[in-house]
Amino acid sequence: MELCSRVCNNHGKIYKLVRNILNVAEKARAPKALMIVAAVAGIAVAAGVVYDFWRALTVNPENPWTEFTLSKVFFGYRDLMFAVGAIVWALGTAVFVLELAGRTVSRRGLVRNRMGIAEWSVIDVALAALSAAVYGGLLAATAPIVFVPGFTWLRPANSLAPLFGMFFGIPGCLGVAIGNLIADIVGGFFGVGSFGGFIGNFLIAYLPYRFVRDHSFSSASSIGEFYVWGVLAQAFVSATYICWWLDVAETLVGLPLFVVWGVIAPIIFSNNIVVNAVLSPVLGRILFPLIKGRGLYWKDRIKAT
Amino acid sequence: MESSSVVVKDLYAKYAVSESWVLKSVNLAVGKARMLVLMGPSGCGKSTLLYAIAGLLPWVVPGEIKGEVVVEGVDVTRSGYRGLAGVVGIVYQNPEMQVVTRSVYEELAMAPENLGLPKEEVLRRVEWVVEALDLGRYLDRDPQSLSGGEKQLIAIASVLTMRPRVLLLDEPTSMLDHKGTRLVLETVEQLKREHGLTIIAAEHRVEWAVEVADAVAVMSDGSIVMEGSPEEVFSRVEDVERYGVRPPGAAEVAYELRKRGFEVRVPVRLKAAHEVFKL
Amino acid sequence: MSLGGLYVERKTLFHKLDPRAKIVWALLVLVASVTTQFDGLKALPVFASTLAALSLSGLGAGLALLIVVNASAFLAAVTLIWAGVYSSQGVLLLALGPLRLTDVGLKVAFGKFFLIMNPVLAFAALFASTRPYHLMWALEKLGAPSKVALTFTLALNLLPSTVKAVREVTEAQVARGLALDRGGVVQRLRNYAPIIVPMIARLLSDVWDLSMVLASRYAGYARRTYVFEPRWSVRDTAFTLLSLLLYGGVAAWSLALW
Repeated sequence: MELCSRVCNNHGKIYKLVRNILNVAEKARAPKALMIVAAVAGIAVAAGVVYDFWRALTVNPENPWTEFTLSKVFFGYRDLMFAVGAIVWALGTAVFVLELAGRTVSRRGLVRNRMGIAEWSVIDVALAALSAAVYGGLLAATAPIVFVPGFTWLRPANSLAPLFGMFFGIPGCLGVAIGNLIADIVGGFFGVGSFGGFIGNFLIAYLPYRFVRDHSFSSASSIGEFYVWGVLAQAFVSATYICWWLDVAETLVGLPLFVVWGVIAPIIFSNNIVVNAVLSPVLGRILFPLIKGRGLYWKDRIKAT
Repeated sequence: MESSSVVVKDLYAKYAVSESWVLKSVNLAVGKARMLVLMGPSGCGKSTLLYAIAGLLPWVVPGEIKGEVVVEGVDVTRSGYRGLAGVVGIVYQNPEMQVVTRSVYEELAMAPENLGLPKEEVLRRVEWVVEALDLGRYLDRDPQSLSGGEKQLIAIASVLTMRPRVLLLDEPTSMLDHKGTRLVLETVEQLKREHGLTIIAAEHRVEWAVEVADAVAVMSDGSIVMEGSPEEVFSRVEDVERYGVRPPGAAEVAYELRKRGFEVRVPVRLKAAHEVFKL
Repeated sequence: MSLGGLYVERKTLFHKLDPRAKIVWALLVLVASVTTQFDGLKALPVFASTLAALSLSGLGAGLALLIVVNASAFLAAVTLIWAGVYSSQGVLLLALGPLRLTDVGLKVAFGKFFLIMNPVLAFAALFASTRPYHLMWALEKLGAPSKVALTFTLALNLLPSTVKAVREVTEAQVARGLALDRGGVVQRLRNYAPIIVPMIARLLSDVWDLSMVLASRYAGYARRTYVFEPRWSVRDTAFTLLSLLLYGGVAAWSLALW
C-alpha cells in the first residue's frame, strides 16, 4: 500500500510537472506540437523508469536487477549493445578530439567551431576550470538520493552537465568532463574506468550544446529539443559509451559483464534521464537569463569576437 | 617637467552588455612614481578605467574603447594587456579569486613562470618580493588558508614578481576586515615609499588617501569631475559631497563649523587638522 | 563524502618521489592486479603494498577501509557474482541455497576484488601525494595541451573552497527550512535547486574575476617555465626498481601457473 501511494504521489507530482511544461508551451508564441510531444515523451520515460524500478524492487527485493526492464534490455541484448557501443565510442571519441581541436562536423563537412583549445582565451580557461570545480564540488559535497544503498542513487548535480554545455559551449563540456574526473579522484574511485566516464560526461554536455537550437528554456521548441537531446539521447549515449569501455577493459577493470550492462548501464541511463528531465529545465529556465546577462553565453561570446 | 607614466586622452569605454558608454571623455596623466587615488560612488567607472589602463577591456572583458591610453610608452589600445607584461600589475577586489594555487611560493612564482623567464630569474624575483614584503612566514602556508588581508598581500606580491612599473589597485580593501585593510594599505604605502612605483588606486578610504596620495581624481557618471592634490580636492567639501564622496572627517567638521559662522580653515590631512583645531 | 583523493600537504617519502616514478608505480600496481585477477591470494602482496603507500602518502591505510565501506554493497555483489561464475570449478567450500562457493570461485572473487581496489588505492595515494603543480607538469609532459593541464590544475586547486561553499549554502538553505530528504523522487530532486542556483550565481561572478587574474598573471603568454620541475633522483630509481621487482615478481608468479 505504502509503495503504491508513493508511486501515485510521484505520478501526481510528475503530472503537475507535465502540466507546468504544457503551460509554458501554451504561452509560447509558436506552439510546436512535435516539441510538446517530445517533452511529454521525455517526462513519460523518466516516470516510467522510476515506476519500473519500484516495481522490480517489489517483485524481487533481493535482486531487483533481474526484474528491472532496463537491466533486462541492456544485458539481454548485450551483443547488440556492444556493437552499438562500439559505434558510439568511435563517434564520441572522434567528436571529442575534433571539437577540442577546433572542428565541428556539419553538413558542410568539418568547419571551425571557434572554441578549440588553441583558440581559448583566459575566459574559456576560467569557465572550464570553474565549471569543473563547481560540477565536481557539487558531486562530491551533495549526498545522492539513495534508492538502494551502494547500488542506485540519483545525483542532482548531474542536472548541470547538459546546462554547462548549452550555456558555455566547449569549455563547459570539458569542464563537465574534468569535474566528473575530479569527483572520481576526490571520492577515491579513480581508475581505468574513469577514462570512459571522462568522455562520456563530455558527451552528456555536448549533445544538447550541439543539437538544441534554442537554449533559453522559454519556448516549446527549446524545451522539446532539450528533452530529445539533453534527456533521452545523452542518457543513451553516455550509458553505452561508458559501459562499452568497461566491457572492453573488463580485464583491467574487473567488473563482471552482468554488472556492467545489467546494473551500471541502467543506473547511468536512469540517473541521467530522471535527473535531467526533472531538474535541468527548472535550472535552465532560471539560469539562462543570468548567464546571458553576465555576457557568458557562448553564442554571444562568439559573436563578440 | 616630469614625463607621465600613464596618459589617458579622451577615453570612452563600455562593456558588451552596456547600452551606453560607461567612461566618457576621460583625460588623465599620472607622473612616474606618483600615486593617484580614484574616488567616486559605486558604478561611476573607477574599475572600468583601471581595466582599460590594464588592457583588459576589451581584450578580456568584452566591450569597446575609443581614445588613447599610453602606459610607459606602450599604446594599450593597440597592444592590449599582452603588451603590458612587466609594465603593469593589477590587484582586484576579491581576495578569494586571486589565490589559485596550493602554495604561497607557487603563487608568487606563477606570473614570471607564465612569462617564460629562466628558472634562476624566477627564483631571484620570488626571493626579492619575499624580502621586500617580509613574506617569509607565509612561504610554507597554503594560500587558501590565509585571511583575506593576507591573501591580498600575496596577490600584491604575485603581481610584483613581474617587476611592473605601474601598479593598479581596484578597491583592494573593500572585502577585508579592519586588520586586513591595515595590512594592505601599509604595504601599498611601503611600495610607494621604497620602490618608486606609479600607483593608481581606486579606494573609498578617504583618510588614507589624503595621507599617501599625490593626487586625487573624483569620478562621477563615467567622467573625472574633480582632480588635483588632496588639499585642492577635499577642501571643496560641498562639491566632493555632491559627487557622492565622503570628505575626510576633519574637513567635514571644519566645513560644518564654517557653515555655522566660525572662521576656520578646512584641513584635509590629520596633521593640518591638529593645527586648525588647537585650542 | 570525504575528500580522500585530494592532495594532502605532508613531508613523507611518497611526497618526495618524482611524479613519474609514482605514475609508473601505479601502472605496475594495475599490471600486477590484472595478472593476479584469477588468484586473490597472489594479489595480497599487491594490496598490502597499496596500503603501505597510503600510509606513506599521509592519507593512512584507513582510507582503504573507508572506500571499501562506502562501496561495500557494490563490492560485495561484484565479488559474489564472480564467485558464482566460477562455482562449477574447484572444491566446494560452502553451499547456501543457490549460492555455491568453491575454492576456485573464492580465489577468483578476491582476485577481482583486488583488481578493482588496488588501482583505486594506488591512484588515491598518487593524487594525495602529488602537488597539483606537479600534476600539471606531468600532464604537459604526457602531451596534454597546456590550457587543459592548467584548467585541470585550477579546478583541483579551487575544489576545496567550492566544496566549502556548497556546504555553507546547503546549511543556510536547510536553516531556512529546506528539507532535502523529504518528499518523493521529483520533489527531492527539485529541492536541490535552491542549492545549485546560488552556486551557479557565484560561478558567474567568479569567472570574470578569475579570467582577469589569469590575464594579469599572463597565463598562456609563453611556454611556461617550471621552477619546481621534479628532478629524478637516486631515490626514484631505487623506488622504481623495487616496484619492478615486486610487481614483476608477482606477475611472473601468477603467469607461471596459468
